[in-house]
Amino acid sequence: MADIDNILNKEGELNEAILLKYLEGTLSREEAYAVEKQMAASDFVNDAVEGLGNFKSKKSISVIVDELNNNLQQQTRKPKNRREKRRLKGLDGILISVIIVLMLCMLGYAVLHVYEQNRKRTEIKSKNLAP
Amino acid sequence: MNHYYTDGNNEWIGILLQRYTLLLLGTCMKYLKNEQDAKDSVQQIFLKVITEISKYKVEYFKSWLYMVARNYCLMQLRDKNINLPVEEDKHAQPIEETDFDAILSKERTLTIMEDSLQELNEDQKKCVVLFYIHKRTYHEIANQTGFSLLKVKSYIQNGKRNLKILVERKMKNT
Repeated sequence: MADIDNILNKEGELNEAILLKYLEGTLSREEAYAVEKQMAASDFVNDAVEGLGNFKSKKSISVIVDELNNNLQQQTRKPKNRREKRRLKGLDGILISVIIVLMLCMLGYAVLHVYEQNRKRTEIKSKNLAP
Repeated sequence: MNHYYTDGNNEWIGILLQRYTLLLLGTCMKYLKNEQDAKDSVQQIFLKVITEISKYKVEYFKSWLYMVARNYCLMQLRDKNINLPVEEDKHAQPIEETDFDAILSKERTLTIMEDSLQELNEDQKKCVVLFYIHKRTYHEIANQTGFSLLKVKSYIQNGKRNLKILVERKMKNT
């Protein structure tokens, strides 16, 4: 009766190398049975094994998988880089705005300072000129 | 998936998808029967997943991905006006993600399962018993029963599915 509970139990994830060996027919009986249990447990695995069996060269499968994985990595990395650049662009904008505001403040201060000094000088001159 | 839903970084999806590249390639090849078409389809499925996954709250990624891949391939075939023969008992919902483990632990369920096994048709019962109870490989079952390898696979898959339906029905009734 203990074996009956095997029927509907879920299996773990499938090892890619083992699956390729299964397709090549180089697995031991026990290993082949383990793969077939995964096939029986999952329509996805079952369809995949059936489809992979249709490849003319089993070696080309690994090459295609590597190529697909490389493309996938590029696909998933690009948007992040773009996001980072966008984020940096945003930061640049903020920095430039802060610098402009600071410069305007300093310019305003300088203008006020010069104006104040001129005013004081004129007052002193007018006092000196007064009889 | 939780990492992706937390920070929205596509690299998490990339890592997850890489685990299924081989399965996707095989599945696409099964339906499209052309190596280049299968490869192109996997790339399109990747793109579809990356752009659309944020719209859904996916709990069982493997099942969801299989459904996306299968639908994509069926759409491709439909565009080429190719009608796929209807497979016996092929349901859209795969059996794999149904969590049966919890109820399996109960002795009562095992008894129900034994009874249900007897209700399967003879060919399915024979293959299910040889595979799960006697732990025979597909080849050994094919040699022993005289069924083709494809028939053996089909009897085991469908037998298991029917068994699940029978057990669930009986569980509800008790």
